[in-house]
Amino acid sequence: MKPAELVERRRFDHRVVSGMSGDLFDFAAYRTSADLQASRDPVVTTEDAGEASKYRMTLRVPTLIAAGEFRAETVFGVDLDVRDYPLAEPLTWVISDPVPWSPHFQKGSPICIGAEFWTARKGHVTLGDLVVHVARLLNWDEKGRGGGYVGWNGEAIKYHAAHYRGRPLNPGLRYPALPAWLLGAPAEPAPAFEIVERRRLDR
Amino acid sequence: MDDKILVNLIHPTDATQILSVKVPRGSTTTWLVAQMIDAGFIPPPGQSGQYKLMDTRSSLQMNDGQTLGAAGVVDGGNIRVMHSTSGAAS
Repeated sequence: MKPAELVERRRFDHRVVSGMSGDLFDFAAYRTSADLQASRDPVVTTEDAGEASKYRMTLRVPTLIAAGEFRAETVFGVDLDVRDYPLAEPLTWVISDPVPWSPHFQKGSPICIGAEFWTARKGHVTLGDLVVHVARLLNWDEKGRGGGYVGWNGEAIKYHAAHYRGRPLNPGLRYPALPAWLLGAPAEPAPAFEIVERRRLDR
Repeated sequence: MDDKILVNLIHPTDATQILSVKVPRGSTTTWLVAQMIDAGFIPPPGQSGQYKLMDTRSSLQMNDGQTLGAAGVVDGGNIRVMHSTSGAAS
């Protein structure tokens, strides 16, 4: 992908996840890893979105952090600066501590999103899809990866099988939704940021 | 559909300037700041600056990415926009 195309792809990714921000999901975007670590100089305008390649993402999906113990939210990082992005999957890592008690999450390691989720789609997958996918992983809402799969945590798999019998932790959970425009739906009729009045008080 | 609330946004350097908006209760601080910049109410924060929001009712500063609902902001609430500058990188 040429540099100009990569900028447009980054702008597209930023627009997608911006349309998903809400109670369940939120993010901050940065230009560099140092900015992300220091939570400084976030990318906040659509004009600069093409420069955003590092994300701190927060998913408020209750997930196991130990047997029978839940954590309400998980913070993770995403780095789009990988060779051959978007054909290659972005780098991911868990920021919050403790990390989810799951075969797909381990401290200091990438989130095991699965080659079939990103790489097999040959670039036809968005950063927003990744958000939904990680939310499903946190909720243990996925098809099993086959008998014998233990990932990073065979003990958690055994616990889940015994207590949830293959079902999600919360079967009724509402996931962050991809923005309607991405799916070809007409734009929202009313702007979400509705200015009622701009005024200056008398001194 | 996400329910909306009315909030009054107070300018960071001129507290007499008020922008009253209706926004979803699930709006996050990050999103609100971006919308205020897009609307021309506040300028971009600059390379080393950032905006923080404070609910004047509780005097609590909202966390980055926190939603209005999670922060307890009520319909008709006032939110002070504050500009801060991060320290130099070591």
